[in-house]
Amino acid sequence: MTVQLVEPDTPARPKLPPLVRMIVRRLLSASVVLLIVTVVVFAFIHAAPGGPEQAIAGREATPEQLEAIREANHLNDPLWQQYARYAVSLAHLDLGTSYTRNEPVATSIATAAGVTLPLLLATWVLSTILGAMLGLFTARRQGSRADRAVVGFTVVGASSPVFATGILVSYIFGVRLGWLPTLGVGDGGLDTVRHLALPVLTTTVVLLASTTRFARVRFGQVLDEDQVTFARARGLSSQYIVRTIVLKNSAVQMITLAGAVLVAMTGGLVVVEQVYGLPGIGTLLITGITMRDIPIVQGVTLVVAVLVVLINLVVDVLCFVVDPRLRKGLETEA
Amino acid sequence: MMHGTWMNSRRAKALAAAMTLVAMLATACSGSSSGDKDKNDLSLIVPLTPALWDTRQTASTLLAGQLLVNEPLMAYQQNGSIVPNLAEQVSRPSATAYEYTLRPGVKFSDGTPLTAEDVKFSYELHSAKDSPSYSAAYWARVKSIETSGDDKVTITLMAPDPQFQYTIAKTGIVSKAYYDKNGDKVGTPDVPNIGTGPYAFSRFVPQSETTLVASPGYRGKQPPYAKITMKTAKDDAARVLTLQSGEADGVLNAPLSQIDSFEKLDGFSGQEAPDLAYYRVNFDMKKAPFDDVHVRRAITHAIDRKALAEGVFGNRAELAPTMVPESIMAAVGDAAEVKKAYEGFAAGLTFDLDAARAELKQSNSPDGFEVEVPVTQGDPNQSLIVQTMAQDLAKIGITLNVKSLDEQGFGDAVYFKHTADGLSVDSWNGGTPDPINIPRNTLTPGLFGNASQYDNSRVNALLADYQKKDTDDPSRVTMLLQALAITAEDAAVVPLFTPKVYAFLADGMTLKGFDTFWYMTRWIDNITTSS
Repeated sequence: MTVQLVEPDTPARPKLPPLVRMIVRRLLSASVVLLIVTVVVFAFIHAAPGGPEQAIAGREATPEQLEAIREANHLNDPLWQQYARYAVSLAHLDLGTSYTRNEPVATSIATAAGVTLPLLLATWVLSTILGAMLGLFTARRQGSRADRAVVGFTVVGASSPVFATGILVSYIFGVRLGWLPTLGVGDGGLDTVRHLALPVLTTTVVLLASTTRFARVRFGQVLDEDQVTFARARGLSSQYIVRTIVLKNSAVQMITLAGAVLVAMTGGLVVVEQVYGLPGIGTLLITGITMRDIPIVQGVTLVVAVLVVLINLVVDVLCFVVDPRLRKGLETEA
Repeated sequence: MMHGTWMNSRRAKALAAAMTLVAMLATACSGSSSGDKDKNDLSLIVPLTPALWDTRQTASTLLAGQLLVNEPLMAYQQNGSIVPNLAEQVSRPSATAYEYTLRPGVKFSDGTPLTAEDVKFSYELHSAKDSPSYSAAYWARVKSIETSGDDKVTITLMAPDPQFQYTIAKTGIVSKAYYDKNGDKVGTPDVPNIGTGPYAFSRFVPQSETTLVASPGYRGKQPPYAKITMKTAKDDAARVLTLQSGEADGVLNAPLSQIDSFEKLDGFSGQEAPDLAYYRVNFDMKKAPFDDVHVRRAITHAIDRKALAEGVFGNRAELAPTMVPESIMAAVGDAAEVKKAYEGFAAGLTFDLDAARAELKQSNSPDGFEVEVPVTQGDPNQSLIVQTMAQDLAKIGITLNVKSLDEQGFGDAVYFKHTADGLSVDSWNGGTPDPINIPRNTLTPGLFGNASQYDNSRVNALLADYQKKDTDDPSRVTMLLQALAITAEDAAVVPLFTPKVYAFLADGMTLKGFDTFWYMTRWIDNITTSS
């Protein structure tokens, strides 16, 4: 006699859509990455010679004074205790208080972000859109004078260090033409817009080099594909071909490029901020490191890490949205 | 038809976008790079902007802003004297006591009256045991701060201190009630500090820029500028470009490495003055081979100070026979005695490679040695000095290897933990105009300025005796000269040179009486315009 075991009916768990599952998976792995970032930054800042008490009290400090400052900031506690205290405050979304500024780190970061974010977004939009436009323009005229001129410009842009470009731009627009200010962030409103104009121009010139060249190559590849040849043979207009074939087939790469540019800028605006004396995130990090302002360094690096993770996630999601082949792959994996 | 409409619509959109862009650019570029600067506005580039406008966290040039808002009881004058300011009068009941009577009718910028309690509170911010004050070392010598009534404050010191009068002149008075209300937030951008001075903080971006505006309720003569903007440029080129573009009217305490560039700028004129700062070579005397006086003397003779001064600073530094400039010493002592002593100091610092070799032969390292020398990125001159010194020292068998550190790393290695190999080069600034300031801070055992970890009982006793003398007693200079002579004999440090301090202002503007302590005066009144 054969006994057939029948499995009891269990209610099937509702399956999340593949895209949502991917996002959840990425967020979980991102949290591990962020945890590692906090540990590594904590270890590095504490391993660096010199402590915040020296920066706070100056060169004429007394030994008793330094000791009192260390005690007040729990810097004499074992490192694991200091990290645990930091982790607990993080769990309460508290980034701590700056040793040197006497204000919550979140406030310092928010103030600095008020300078960096407009700079970052304006530069990002300009460099990606202009880069795509110039890339398309040159891809359709490969070998022409215009193509060589644009490629030459991008080579110069790519070869020049940011600070050199910044000095040149400041000299032309600030000194020779006298149009725009070269130092500081201004008094808010239109004055701040004026103060950010040259930093935006500088960063855009530098970034245009890579965005234009990348776009030129990718658009050129698509323009060489058979589908474009057939479309032209069918008498379809150039604008139609660009909109429906070239841009659509390059969308994934261009979104990835835009994301990469944004990620690079998130940590790469330090030099521009220094050249133009902008009190942005990069400057905050540099002064935090110089002054050994541990909460500032930890807070800024964590926020930058979160931004990088989020940008990468958004880029991936957008790629899935615009490219059905990637969505299909995701569903197959599931 | 549809196609044509679409094209027209597309062109119209493109045109609109282009016009918007042009309008935005035009708006952004409207006006000049210097903005709509009023002649009543003054814009300056300064070396530093603090993280916090708290009197505990401002020293040196940062006092230029702080003391215009938070006035001191006594004010330092260009001629070196200290005169009553918020105090109406001061008396000395004993050598260790100062009794200040406050000027009546003084008010903070929020309208509240200044009281003796405010003064006591202001000073206790610095003298508290766990105070983060840059001046804590000076306030540590205070025994008590007492008030009587609303207008009298008595400060008693543990021992006589000739520098105390300068400490009072550097310490701004704050409002106790305002601190009680706002706590540690005072001095942040959201809670600007308030004082009794001619200016009030209007805008503050930590470590970047500050705007002061004339305080409408100020009791005295209104200051010459309605608004002062002080910005810090972190990049050398930016500093020059900002002056060139006309955005700033000048740069105060211009970096020495940029003087050449500033001198070539059209429309700006420079001013210079001797600085109370000196470059020195420190030997950590608790570390071999620098615990050997013959090694220290060998290095002293192997340093071509004249060539170093010319090579690194051009004509912008004077050789330093010792750690205190002769003019500072002569101002309080017998000029002939000082001159003779200084000639003796200079004679002991001759560049003589044969003498250096002979000294090294007598040492425990007759064949020379190799040493790593830390330099800080914050002062590019240090690296230049060490690399130039290394060429002559190599001739007697001593190899110097430069190690670049950031400022905190350098502080740790040289001042606080003494983790460096034992040889270092740095610049030490005087905190007050009294001649004892640098010797006391750099020769007293246990103080961080004593990078050599020098400890000589005779020198310690002489410095202590100096403190007990009245400021008008010329014998104190004799004591100080004796201490410096012993230090030179021990070759504890090699004094190199005293650089000058520079300011560049737009043509027609002058900072009258510009000197190394300009920031302690009410300097804004001393800016004159010829046009």
